Amino acid sequence: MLELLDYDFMRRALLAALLVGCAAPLVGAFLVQRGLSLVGDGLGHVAFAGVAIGVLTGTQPVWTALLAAVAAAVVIELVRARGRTSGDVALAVMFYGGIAFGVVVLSATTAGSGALTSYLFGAITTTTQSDIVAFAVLAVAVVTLTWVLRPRLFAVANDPEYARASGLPVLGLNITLAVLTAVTVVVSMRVVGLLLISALMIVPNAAAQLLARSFRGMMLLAAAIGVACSLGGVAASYALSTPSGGTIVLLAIGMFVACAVGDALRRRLGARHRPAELHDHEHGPDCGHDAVPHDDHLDYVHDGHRHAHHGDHYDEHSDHASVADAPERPAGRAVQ
Amino acid sequence: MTAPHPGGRQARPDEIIALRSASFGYADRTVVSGVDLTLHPGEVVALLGANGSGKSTLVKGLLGLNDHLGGSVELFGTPLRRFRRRSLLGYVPQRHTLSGTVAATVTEIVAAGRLPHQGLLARPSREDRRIIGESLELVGLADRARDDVAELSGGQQRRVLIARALAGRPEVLVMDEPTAGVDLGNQRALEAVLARLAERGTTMLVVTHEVAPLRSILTRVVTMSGGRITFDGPASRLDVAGDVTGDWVGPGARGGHDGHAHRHGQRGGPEHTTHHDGHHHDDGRHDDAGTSTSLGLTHPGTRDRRTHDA
Repeated sequence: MLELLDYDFMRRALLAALLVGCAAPLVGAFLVQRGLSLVGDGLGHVAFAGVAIGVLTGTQPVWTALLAAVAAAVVIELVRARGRTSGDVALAVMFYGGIAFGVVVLSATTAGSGALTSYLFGAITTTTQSDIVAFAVLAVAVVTLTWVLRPRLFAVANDPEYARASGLPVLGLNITLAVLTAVTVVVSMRVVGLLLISALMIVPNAAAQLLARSFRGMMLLAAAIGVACSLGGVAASYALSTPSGGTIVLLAIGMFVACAVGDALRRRLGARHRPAELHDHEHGPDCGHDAVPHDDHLDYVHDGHRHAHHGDHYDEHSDHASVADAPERPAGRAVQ
Repeated sequence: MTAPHPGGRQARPDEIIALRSASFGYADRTVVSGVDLTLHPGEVVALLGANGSGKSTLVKGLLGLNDHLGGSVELFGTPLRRFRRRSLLGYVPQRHTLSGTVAATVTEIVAAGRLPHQGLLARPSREDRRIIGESLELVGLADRARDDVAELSGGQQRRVLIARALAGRPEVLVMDEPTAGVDLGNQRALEAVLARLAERGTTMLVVTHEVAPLRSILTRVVTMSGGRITFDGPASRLDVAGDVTGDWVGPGARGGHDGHAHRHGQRGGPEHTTHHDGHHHDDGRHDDAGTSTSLGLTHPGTRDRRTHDA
């Protein structure tokens, strides 16, 4: 497998995959959070029109695509900020107009259908040296900015009303996220293709979501999954002579399924714990029950047995010799 | 212009909120109009009213979430238009899901309260983390700091929102229906949190449907109907103390000026007057009292909390 690295084009491909695999899920985390999982798809459509213009005018398609996608991203946020229902239809027109324009114009140029599919579905091994430099700069900028702005992007996506009330620049941050998304789409188009880029932003997050217990954890895990799938996908596409984009996305979906199965198994095992009886008060500093530290949490001594928070209910944590336990209850360890 | 409130025309530095015939709404639609209201440090004021009475529009106006359409609005002595220190108001919105789409820990949600105090590129400092921990301690959720918020009950999620507001170190908490839709056990815990905050002298403006859970800590009650303030006075005036189960006739309304549908004070109670805007309204003068339900205020002790204000 290491002979992959002997080829210049493979080294470039793997580097591009590494960058995209990291950047796309990080940006995608906020899209998932905002319920905008498909927006990357729409931006991909518009970027395609930019590619066509680039080919038509003899400009680098990367830059015209970037321009088109960023402009569309800003328009999307402004339309959303106005909150009109007609805005949804306007965005649909923009997205489909973009891809239709791209297909028609590209087929009329000398680029031919090979170029068309390479942009739509990715053709990573055709990446040139200058492409790679541009991608690297853009991807590093996206990753850095996304990570640095993470707490703010999180707060704005989590509760825009509160964010506005506390004085955060909500529209500015949303436009920033949209532009980061647009840049990611364009950086990724040679690797996974404009039709599949949204998958690389969303699917690793969907998988990470099943395992993570914090937003930060989800982002890091999604980036790790994204990198693993991108590198694995590029290597596999070389070995199997398959298109890189589809291979990467299929790997990511495989990861998602594996995580879902793992999560289901964990839940099955987790179900072995013993919930406490229902009571209509909340244990806490004011409940009047003694709190006893237990590993990383507090148990509350309730009528001689211990209650511990578990999700939205309490568990019996009764395997402690220090507390008189109801003898008829079998001791069972709560699975945390 | 004669001043019904002596000295009230000038925003004194000790007025956290000062409204003079203020109106709020959305674009060209006025929802709240002619509102006079002041809030002083240390006060705990309940803002009562039915759905659509304008109480949420009023607080959202204060928070800069809708349009200020007229009158004067001063926050901490600064006109609303020029008010920039938004973090002085700690907003506790009415939300039923803290993070519906992604995993998020209690700490991650509460940390948002610190953002106005951090530089754009800054990481949370040790001080930020200490304040976040303290805020969680205050609402009794210190042991849940690292839990996914999806695992919390509705009442605990409400307390997370209070902690988030506290983390911003505000001068006043502005809460939208903190006790609505919360089961009894959680309601007790919430009441305890609010009582603890009141004990510490926290200024609070609480939009609510029900005065009962807050009665012990309230210094004043303001009621709204049809986008106007209809009563502004101590909670004891709102009904007869101790009468928890009897019919609670709506709070005193503003005389015949706006066609109020409620008697002033409590049915059969001693005659008392409400004072608003320099006008006195006497019981019995306008005996056009409607039913107690037309304001939609639940009786104290009633447990219908499936109410949402727009």
